[in-house]
Amino acid sequence: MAQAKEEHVAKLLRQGLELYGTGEIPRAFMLWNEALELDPGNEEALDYIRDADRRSLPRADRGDAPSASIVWDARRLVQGENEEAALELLVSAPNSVTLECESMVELLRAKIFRKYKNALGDLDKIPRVKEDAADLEGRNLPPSAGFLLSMVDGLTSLSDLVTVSGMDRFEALRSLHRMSEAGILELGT
Amino acid sequence: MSRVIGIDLGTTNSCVSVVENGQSTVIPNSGGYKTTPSMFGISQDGRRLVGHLAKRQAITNARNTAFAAKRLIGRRFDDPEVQKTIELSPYEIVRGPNDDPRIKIGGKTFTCPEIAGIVLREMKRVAEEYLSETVHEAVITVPAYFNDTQRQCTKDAGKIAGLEVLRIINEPTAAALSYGMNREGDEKIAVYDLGGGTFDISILEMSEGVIEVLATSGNTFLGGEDFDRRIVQHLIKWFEETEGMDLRGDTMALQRLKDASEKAKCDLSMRDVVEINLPFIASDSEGPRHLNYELTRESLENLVHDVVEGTLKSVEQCCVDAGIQAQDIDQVVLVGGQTRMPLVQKRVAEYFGKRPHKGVNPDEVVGLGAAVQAAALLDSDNDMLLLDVTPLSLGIGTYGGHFARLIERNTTVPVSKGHIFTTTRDNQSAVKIRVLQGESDMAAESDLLGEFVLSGIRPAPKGEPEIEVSFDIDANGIVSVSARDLATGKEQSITVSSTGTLSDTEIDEIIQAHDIYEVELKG
Ligand SMILES: Nc1ncnc2c1ncn2[C@@H]1O[C@H](COP(=O)(O)OP(=O)(O)OP(=O)(O)O)[C@@H](O)[C@H]1O
Ligand SMILES: [Mg+2]
Repeated sequence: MAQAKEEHVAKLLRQGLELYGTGEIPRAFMLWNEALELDPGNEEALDYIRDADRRSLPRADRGDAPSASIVWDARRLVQGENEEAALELLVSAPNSVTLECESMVELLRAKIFRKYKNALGDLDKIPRVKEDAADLEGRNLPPSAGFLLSMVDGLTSLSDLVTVSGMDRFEALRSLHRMSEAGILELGT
Repeated sequence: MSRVIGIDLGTTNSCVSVVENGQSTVIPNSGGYKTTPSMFGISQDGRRLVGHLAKRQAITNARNTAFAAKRLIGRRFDDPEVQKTIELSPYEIVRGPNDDPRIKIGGKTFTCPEIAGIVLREMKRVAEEYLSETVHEAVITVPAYFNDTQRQCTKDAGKIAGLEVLRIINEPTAAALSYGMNREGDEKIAVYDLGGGTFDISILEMSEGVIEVLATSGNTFLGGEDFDRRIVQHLIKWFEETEGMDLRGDTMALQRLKDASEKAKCDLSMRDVVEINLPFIASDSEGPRHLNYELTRESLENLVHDVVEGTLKSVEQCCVDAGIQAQDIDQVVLVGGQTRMPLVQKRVAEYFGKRPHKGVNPDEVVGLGAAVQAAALLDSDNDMLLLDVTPLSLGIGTYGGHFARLIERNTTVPVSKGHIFTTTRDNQSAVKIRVLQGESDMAAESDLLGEFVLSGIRPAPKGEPEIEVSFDIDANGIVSVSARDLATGKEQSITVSSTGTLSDTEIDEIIQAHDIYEVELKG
């Protein structure tokens, strides 16, 4: 492992510990998970996470088997660069309420959000419905996408759409990103 | 010299105009819209939204979107109109320290002049963008029935927006002005104004440039939105019958239904049939559902027929109040966006037995008239095009709970009048002057505009001291009252603005707060 990376991982682990000490547990988990991503299988990180999870969680379901294996699967998906699938898996799993799960969900959302933002580019861009997206109704879109589409008027920017929709920012951006990927929306200025 | 703009500050929409090259024109905003929703909201992520953006979240974020503040402005919290608004509003209305209703959105409490001020500031900005110069002065319109406090609050709103309000004029008067009705002979004019949220009917009498409001009537809870609601309900029912799904609890669907219904309604003023397409309005295990419906003008007319007939009942009442018959009316003027609907035009024409004046854009005529008045104010030869009159009688409360009228309603303004009053007890050293407005003989049934005490009256048997009370109403309809003890020359006075409205300090504080929170001023 390159030295810079090693140092970065060490730093993440240390910062995580500091946060843990001050009671900011979910954020501590985020950093440790980030460290795990950089260095999969890092014993120290795994140890912290396992330990902290056990100690800080007064819930009945802590450390139960399904949850642990889901996290494992999710992490594998992340390694395969399939973050969206990992997120889907985590949020749809029953009993996925361990802190480890929660923090991984947060981390993934932050990462994926950044990905959407990068893919969409400048959020001041103005989306329009593509002319050749005529057979729109044949597609399988959720009502929230229909709602966003109804506000696309060639004047309102992506960031205004997100604001005015009142939707969760992550959900709104995901929906817009998917529609632009699917060739329903085009982005202009 | 910078220009003076005219602003129609509506319940639902506002409109700004200016006179250019002798021609009054409406100023469009950057999105091309000529009217701007009088709405202010705070989004989930804390952004301040004005106008069209605020309207977009009006249903999905209803608790944090203020609209129709005009129904509340200048009223007491206990006013039945305020209570009814509270009942019907999704946002929170709380009692303010001056016993005024205040609007609570996004965790913050706003006074009504403040909300109106935010809308006015947006109109000012639209005008400045268009004119490429800063604007400092404006003429603003209000309903003919607005009392002194409501007018004063509207002026305060202007101040909050950074505008000096040169004149407050009545909406029907402005409408008459924009139709160039100021130079004609003696006539009786009916102004039928059906806007988004309110219906006003006014009967005016014009003679030699003086315009008198003979009577006003209407319904502050009836307007174009009732038409939209009828369509929404119809679509929900139809969707339920054909798809077996209930959209009533789904705010996203409701927002779309409302927007689409209003659009369909407007399109049906030009066409006989429209398609309403709402793809992906709902979904279930079988996949997405679309709402595709064809609405004809005829079916719309059936849906709203009774609403239109309801307005004619108010028209009838107004004629009775004015002491005239429908056929005595010389001119009928249509105002308000909803009068673009052919059914409305037809029924009004039938009622009066004559074709109404209608501009292309009835929702713009009030603003246009305000600009005509604004331009006239700059022209020293033509200081006043039309003289307005006091909408309600003014006077003071006297012994025994009576209301002594000093200025009768429909007196041309500006005006000043005085009357001598005296004491009711021996050696009475002070009198309390309670300024009232209204048409009842009982003080308790009249609006209290303000009160003050004149003290230091020389001891004397009751009935002996002479206290002169004089009323002054300026061209804006703003009232000041003074009381003078003729024996001592001692005087006390007020500009009636103190009850339920904001003090100058409060206004300054609001202005400063808004400088910090520069409002989102987009589309
Ligand atoms: N072409 C049209 N056909 C039918 N209705 C229309 C048309 N254009 C606008 N409207 C309706 O007019 C109403 C708005 O009218 P306007 O802008 O005059 O309101 P306003 O003056 O703010 O309202 P208020 O009188 O309540 O203060 C809305 O309900 C709108 O849907
Ligand atoms: Mg109006």
